[in-house]
Amino acid sequence: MLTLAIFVSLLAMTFISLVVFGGGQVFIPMFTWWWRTLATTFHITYQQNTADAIISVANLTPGVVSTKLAAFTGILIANNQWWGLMILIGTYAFFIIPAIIIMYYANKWLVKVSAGKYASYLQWFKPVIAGILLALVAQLFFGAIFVKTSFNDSYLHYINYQPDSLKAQFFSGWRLIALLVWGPILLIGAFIGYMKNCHYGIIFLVAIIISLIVFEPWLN
Amino acid sequence: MVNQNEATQLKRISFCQVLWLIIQITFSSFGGGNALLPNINQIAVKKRQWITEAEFQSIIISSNLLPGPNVIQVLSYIAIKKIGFWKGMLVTFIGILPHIGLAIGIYYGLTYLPIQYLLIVNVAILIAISGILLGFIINYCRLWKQNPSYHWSQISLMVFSAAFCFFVPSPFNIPAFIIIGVLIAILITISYRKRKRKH
Repeated sequence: MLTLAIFVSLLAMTFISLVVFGGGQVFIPMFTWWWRTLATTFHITYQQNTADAIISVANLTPGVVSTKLAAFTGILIANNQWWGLMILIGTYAFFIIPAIIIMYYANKWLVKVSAGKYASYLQWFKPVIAGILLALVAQLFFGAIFVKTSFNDSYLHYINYQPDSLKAQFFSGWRLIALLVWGPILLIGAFIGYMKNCHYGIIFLVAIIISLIVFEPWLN
Repeated sequence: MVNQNEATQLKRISFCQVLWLIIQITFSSFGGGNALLPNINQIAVKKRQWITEAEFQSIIISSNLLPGPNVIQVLSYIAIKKIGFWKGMLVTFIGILPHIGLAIGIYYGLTYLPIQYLLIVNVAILIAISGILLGFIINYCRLWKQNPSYHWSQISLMVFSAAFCFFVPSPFNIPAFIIIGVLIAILITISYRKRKRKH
């Protein structure tokens, strides 16, 4: 049963990689769907708390969210056993390799198109990319400062009120007011820093240090 | 004097340099997906000049158009371009792993870490990324507006794309839908123009 679960999960990783477009949080529903399928079909130990912890860690830590979720799938199958590290490499490999191969071949075609007579048409994709990034700014910023409400997580929970979440509990009272004031200031500061060609590390470091001073996590 | 395009061609890059680039990007970027693009742009395009700005813009389009994690695709493109297909694929595979290790370490150490510190770091970084992304969008729009084929109606396409991704209920707000829509519109325009010329 376990061997079958591993084998099917490897295929599922490739499937998820090939059906989801973009990156970041858009992969989360597909992975949670697969983790639930593993629990119901292959009786893998799975609890909602574990999934919540994995998703939180994937979002809180630096790097590529989807690859972390693919790797965590291996750990879930192994139920935190040491050999889960080997399964993790497998789920990770089956997730990223198809995407790399697709990019390699599709880009060869795109280079031909961009160099040819259709190059001017490609300009029409640029406003779309700018629009996608603009929506991402709004999602990240509002998601960070409106801690009690999440917007458009899914069509079932378009506006979701979560006053009991860890984040909402911590950023309450005076910390919530501080967040609503400090959030826009930090946004403008980071924007100016970027336009002045400041190093990213410095922008992040200053943002973290001032935020720690503002929110004082050492207080109860 | 060499221009940026020639400069990117002249540089000889080793396996270890590409590996370090991927590790550097994955450890210094937060937010996932397109949120990592400004950092990749700053490190790979502006600082190291391994690819040109035009090339970078083109791979943003293709990575959003294709299925799969777009950051992996952008990083693998740079790696493959610099050191070839097999080595490029291998270095992407290895280079992504350390930051996954960090995430797993934090997952197991979560019970020992005070969660409020993580929450503050997360909020600070996500807001800082929003500001950085905003700057990146403005620079991106400036470059796109300088192009001779720029047309004012492209602004409305930008607003439509932003509204689509933000307001259309998830998971139906996939950015690739708009890119595919534009692709179809372009193909229709090309075939219409061809027909017109024949007549």
